[in-house]
Amino acid sequence: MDWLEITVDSLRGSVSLVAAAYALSSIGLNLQFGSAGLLNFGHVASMLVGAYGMAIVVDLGGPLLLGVLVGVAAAALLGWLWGITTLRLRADYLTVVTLSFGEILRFLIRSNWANPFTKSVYGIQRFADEFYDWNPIPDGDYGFEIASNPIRFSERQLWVMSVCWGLAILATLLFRSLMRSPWGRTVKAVREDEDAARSLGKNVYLYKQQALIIGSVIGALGGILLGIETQNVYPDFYIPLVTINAFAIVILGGAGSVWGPMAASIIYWFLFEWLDGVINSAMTEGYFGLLFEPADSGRIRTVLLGIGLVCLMVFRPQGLFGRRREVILGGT
Amino acid sequence: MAEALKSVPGRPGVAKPSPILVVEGVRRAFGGLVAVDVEHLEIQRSSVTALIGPNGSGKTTLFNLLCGFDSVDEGEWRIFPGSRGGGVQPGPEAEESKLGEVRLTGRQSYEIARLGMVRTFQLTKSLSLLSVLDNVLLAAKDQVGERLSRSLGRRWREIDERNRSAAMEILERFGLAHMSDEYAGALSGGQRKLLELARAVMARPSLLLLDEPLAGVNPALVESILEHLLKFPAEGMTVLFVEHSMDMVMSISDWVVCLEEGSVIAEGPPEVVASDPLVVDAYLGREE
Ligand SMILES: Nc1ncnc2c1ncn2[C@@H]1O[C@H](COP(=O)(O)OP(=O)(O)OP(=O)(O)O)[C@@H](O)[C@H]1O
Ligand SMILES: [Mg+2]
Repeated sequence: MDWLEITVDSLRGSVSLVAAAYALSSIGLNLQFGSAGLLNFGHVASMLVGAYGMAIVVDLGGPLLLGVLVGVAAAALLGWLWGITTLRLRADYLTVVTLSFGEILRFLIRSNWANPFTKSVYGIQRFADEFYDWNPIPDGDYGFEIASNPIRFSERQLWVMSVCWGLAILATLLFRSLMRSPWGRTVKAVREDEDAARSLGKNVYLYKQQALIIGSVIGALGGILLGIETQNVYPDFYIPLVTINAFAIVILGGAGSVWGPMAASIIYWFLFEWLDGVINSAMTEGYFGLLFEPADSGRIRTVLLGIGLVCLMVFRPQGLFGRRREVILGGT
Repeated sequence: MAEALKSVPGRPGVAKPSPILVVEGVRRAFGGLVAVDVEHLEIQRSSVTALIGPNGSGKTTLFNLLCGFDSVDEGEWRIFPGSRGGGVQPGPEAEESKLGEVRLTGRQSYEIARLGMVRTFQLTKSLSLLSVLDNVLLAAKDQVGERLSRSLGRRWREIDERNRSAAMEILERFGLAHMSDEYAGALSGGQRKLLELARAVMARPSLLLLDEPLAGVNPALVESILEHLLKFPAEGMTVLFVEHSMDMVMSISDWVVCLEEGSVIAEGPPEVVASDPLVVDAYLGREE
């Protein structure tokens, strides 16, 4: 087993577009869940409407930028819909509704009658050429080698990665300013005790609604960039597992922490790739004998990541960047 | 203003010379149980009024109803937050108050708070993961940075700076200044009660509804808090508080209202109510 090769490959994965897109998307979830305490289990739907909004507009002949705007507007609308349907009810309704909204949306775009717009199961391809036309980076291969193991990206990959990491940094800074402001203080108060916030004249509903919408829009940006990278959107990418990954990242980073999602996304995707590499070479080298087949490698990885997350909750419940004291005092 | 009560006869539902709150026919039943059924009740402006009654007599439920945390089956209530009487300065939100009377029936709890009626809770609600200082700053009414559209501006910093000194002063009064940077969740039960009180005072309400504000606070501190509480009317805050300790009720209230099974069975000056046979019965239990 070539440990160095696996490790270098994983390093490459940890800064890739996937990591960047999840970082960006998780910042939105962090605002909803970490700051406002809203357990949104349908975060993937924000990414879906963002990506599909863009792809459909371009597919119908519109410019990419308009597509992005439509995707973002659709995500804002989605956040608002979540709010009006659930916020007047008990908190658990939000979880159920967001989860089912996501699945309903996925089945809708998959359905035959949506075919003229969404191309149902086949999805939409080649909608982001315009984005790559804007690429200022000259053609070439960029990167370096670690003991003759390359970490290299094409000018195309580098372009979309830079935009996505750049947006993630901007979103993080926005998150930080918002949460340091009196608006953020009120959002935290709403999370801590709605009635106390109300008794001090805060319109609890409005703050939750705003957190849902902003979080959904940031989530959509992540979805949009993932779409741009692959030039391909198809319904079965947007499964609940995407939300789970985003939650794993938020929790790993520390719910409510400022730089948590970005750092955690890097670490999470590093581990993901690394486990993948190790399991796959163990398979080909026959370490598992007859116990597992190559097709099981994805499952083994998921199980291991799950165990890791459980260990994290036990030994470091505040995540990497959260404050332990907050976890201890949280329940009081 | 409390002087004005001297001439008011002590009987249930009696009119006051200058009421800040008027409650009419407010009723709330839980299934078959009538928790609150107040025919008529007026709270005198700039007074300290005690609301007493045995356990389960509907005091907390009445607070919940008046402040919009629960909805009435019937009835209505109005507040007069205007500047008549003890130098009340309505907050910027209380625009309507210039008209004198504001109907509160059916309003949302946060609107009622903005209109100048702020309550505390019998079971303390602390905002654990906010600092003690932030808890108090949160209550300030003039913080425009609470609006999303202004949260990224600069203006709120000045306002917060100004509010900070007011907040520290209030924390000082309630003996919490040394804890200002601590998480509220780290406070003891009694300290949380005090923090809730401090928060409510920071909101500068014209009417303050306190549900057993000093339950669990150590007696030495109670003394000093009561002194502050007695000054509230002069600062423009009328106080209505629930309390089980008759000693405390007797020592600080200008007026006492007694509930039993949701209805006002007696009201009047403390000495009069304390010796009212109906009240004595209600507390000691009736012997049939
Ligand atoms: N949400 C509710 N559902 C059903 N019954 C309730 C509810 N809230 C209060 N009650 C009932 O209404 C009555 C009045 O309760 P309330 O809490 O107002 O009493 P209280 O005067 O505040 O008592 P205490 O002095 O013990 O605080 C009680 O009999 C209680 O059981
Ligand atoms: Mg009570």
